[in-house]
Amino acid sequence: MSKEDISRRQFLNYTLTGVGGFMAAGMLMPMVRFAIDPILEKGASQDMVAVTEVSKIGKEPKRFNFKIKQKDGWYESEVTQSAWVYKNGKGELIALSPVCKHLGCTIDWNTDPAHPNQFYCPCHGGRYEKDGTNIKGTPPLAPLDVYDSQVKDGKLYLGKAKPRKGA
Amino acid sequence: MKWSSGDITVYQQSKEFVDTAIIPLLPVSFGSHIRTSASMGDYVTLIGEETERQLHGRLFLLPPFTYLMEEDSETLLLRLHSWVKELKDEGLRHVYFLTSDPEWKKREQELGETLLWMPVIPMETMDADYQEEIVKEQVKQLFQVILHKWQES
Repeated sequence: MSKEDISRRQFLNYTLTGVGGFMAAGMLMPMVRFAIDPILEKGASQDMVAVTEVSKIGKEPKRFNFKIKQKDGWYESEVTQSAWVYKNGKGELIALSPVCKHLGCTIDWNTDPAHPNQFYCPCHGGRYEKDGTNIKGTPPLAPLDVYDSQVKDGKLYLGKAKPRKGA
Repeated sequence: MKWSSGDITVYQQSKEFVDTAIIPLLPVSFGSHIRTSASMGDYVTLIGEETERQLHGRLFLLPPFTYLMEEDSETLLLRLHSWVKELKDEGLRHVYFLTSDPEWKKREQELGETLLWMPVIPMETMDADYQEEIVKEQVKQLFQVILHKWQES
């Protein structure tokens, strides 16, 4: 007991501060966690949604509507989305987003008589090939987004629409 | 586009692509027409929002123009004309009024701009899927008018 740098009083003070601090943290942490929980989970991946039976999908793009639950912090709502779905030459299913990459209008298939078999945007005349590639000389600068897709038990499931690189 | 800060940012960057505005006209009344006026509000809002969703990039859905059913129509017309003037000065060449209120149909000539009058369909008894179907079908008809005007210009 030669080197006594800490007095009994100091020792008790340190211990009490330490223990008190832990207790306060223990109480506050869950509260903070509860308060910001929805924000932390905002980025969580969206579930795949069953859209249609695979047998209903042909070579011609067809529009299918489906509902997803959209979570925005605390607020949850159901939003209808649609997809243009078809089978390409290799028999793969392609699901394209109907949102024009120019300014976000809704595109349609084969509605412009001058340019058949293309996706057409009524707002500013944007056009896309069947595979969603934007046609040069029209306003859009990127191809249509493609949905994550999955086939399970004869049904098509779609997830998030993902952007692709421009043509 | 909607009247929200997010869309306004896009609007300011791509003004030259937006040339159409829709103003919903919503009557309010607490008298015997209270139910009708509420139904009109529901219906016109749904139609307006669906139209906006489809034609997001070229069409501006403005906040509704609300008025009391008993209000003097001359004053209303004057106010609407000043809205239209403001929008035209802004470069929105096509201005549409969207409403279910039959009073406007009677005064269509005086409005000066295209009136899209949709007789109200009461939606409260329908389930959500059916509502959506009806709204989509109605909006398709509206498109004919709007797209035709676009092609003319």
